[in-house]
Amino acid sequence: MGELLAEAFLMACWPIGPAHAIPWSFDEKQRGEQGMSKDPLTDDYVRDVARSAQGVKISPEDATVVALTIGPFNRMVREAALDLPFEAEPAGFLLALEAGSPR
Amino acid sequence: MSAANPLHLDLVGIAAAIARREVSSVEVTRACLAEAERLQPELNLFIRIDGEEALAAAAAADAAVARGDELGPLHGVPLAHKDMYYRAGRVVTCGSEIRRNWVADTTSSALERLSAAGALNLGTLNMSEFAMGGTGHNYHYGHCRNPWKVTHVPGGSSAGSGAGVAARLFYGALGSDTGGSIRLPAAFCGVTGIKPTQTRVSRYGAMPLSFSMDNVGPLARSARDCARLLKIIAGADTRDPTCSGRPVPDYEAGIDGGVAGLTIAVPTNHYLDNLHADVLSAYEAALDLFRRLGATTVEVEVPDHDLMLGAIHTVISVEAATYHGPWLRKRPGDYSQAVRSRFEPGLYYPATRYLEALNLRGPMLQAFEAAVFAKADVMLTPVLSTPVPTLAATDAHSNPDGSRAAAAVARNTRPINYLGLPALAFPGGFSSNGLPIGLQAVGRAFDEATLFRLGHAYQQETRWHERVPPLAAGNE
Repeated sequence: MGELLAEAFLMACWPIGPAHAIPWSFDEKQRGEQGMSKDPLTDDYVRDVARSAQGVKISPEDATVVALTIGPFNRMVREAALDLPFEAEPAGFLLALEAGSPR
Repeated sequence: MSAANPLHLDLVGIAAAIARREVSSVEVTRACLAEAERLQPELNLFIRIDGEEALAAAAAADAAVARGDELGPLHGVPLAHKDMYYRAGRVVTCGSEIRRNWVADTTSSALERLSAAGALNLGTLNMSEFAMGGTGHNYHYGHCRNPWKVTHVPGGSSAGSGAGVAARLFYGALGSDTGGSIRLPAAFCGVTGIKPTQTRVSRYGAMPLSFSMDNVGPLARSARDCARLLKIIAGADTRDPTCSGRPVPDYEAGIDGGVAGLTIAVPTNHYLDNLHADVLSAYEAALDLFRRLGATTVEVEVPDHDLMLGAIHTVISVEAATYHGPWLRKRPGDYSQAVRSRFEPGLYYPATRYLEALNLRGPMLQAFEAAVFAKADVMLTPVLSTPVPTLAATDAHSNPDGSRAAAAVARNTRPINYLGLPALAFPGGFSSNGLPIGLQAVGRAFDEATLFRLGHAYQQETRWHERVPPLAAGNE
């Protein structure tokens, strides 16, 4: 869940952070300045992320459920993607489909 | 099969009977409509019945026969379709409250092609809300029910399509398949359905759920029926730039070729995990039959399917949430809790994860092809590892375990959407609870013809597809 929160935190910072300083990391003071919760592992934090990122009202309970739901998929996909060639792109799938299977 | 009751003929059979004037389209349509009205309270599979319109079209079809006009391959045959195919000027609900009164301003390519082939339309069919769900629950229009046992799910999301074909209310139906939504109702209701190769059929005018995974395809009573329907709806479409321009084969032409010489892959992992004894027995019986018919079988180990399930979950969630974003923000209360809770997490995936999930598709397809199609022509699996569940056991609103149980039904179908490959679902017997067991044949890309040939060979021997639910006409 920590990894998920870190990603979600970055995602949330884009629309609200200063354009000239993309915040790749935050200390506690900076989090406060950004109007974010202090502790990145609390439900409040997840709620803030969700609200900031998408403008959708979401309860802390729902945010936790969302985080727990998407966390495993995020991790699984990211780990597998580490082995992908740098140039990989979605169109490669359609090319593979059109190329057909071995006979 | 009852020759006396036209409702018990298959689609190919009724088209021939109408063309030969053995029965009129009006007679057939009247019989279908009478059954639809009789069974609607029990099965709840129609959202709207367009009886007068269908009868007028049937009369016009009979007039064309009388004049000796050239007839299309579906001339005068009553069909009905999942209520997510747009028809200009008509309400298309998509099984939702949000679109309860939404009127389409265009007609889908698939519907146009069926009409051009002479098909009639009886009405619009119940489905999972916005096609999000594998069981057939619908909290706005009422749950669709399985004609074999009304306490059980018909499978979704093309619930009315599967239930109606099984109950002999019409001869075929369009479904859509993003994670199993054609194959699940086909399997649960004991009919045949095909998810074509990704890009084989135009999706123009079909409600989108996940543009990377959505497929348009038919459900009908037999592999041969599906072959005819797919031939009609497949092929290039200038209105869908993602649609393949490959020529469409005449699937019916080679359907009697048998399975001698084919190699059938038997997966040693994922698809046969935790199989119920009834399902295992049906699966092994099918393999035995294919071997007797001259096919050989070979064991294969498929690549990481947990990863594929994770990746397709990510893609469907994000794409569906993107489409539904405005409504999720403005009208969240108009979704059922079950469906909203499936859409909403898609808003929170990082874009990088979504693209990585798409990027993995090509390598995963190549790994799957190397594992399976380097050794075999087709892979055979069960559609569902257990007997068909009840509505209550999979009800996400009233049962705390319902969401998990409902999600589990797509374990064997979703990976095939991720791979983009064609898959035919067909009835493979019955479990001890009296409900059908479905088998799934997965083929090489654009090789639907082999799937139809295999399904047809199986159906000529087993005749499971001709079994009719007790509540259907002529079977009371």
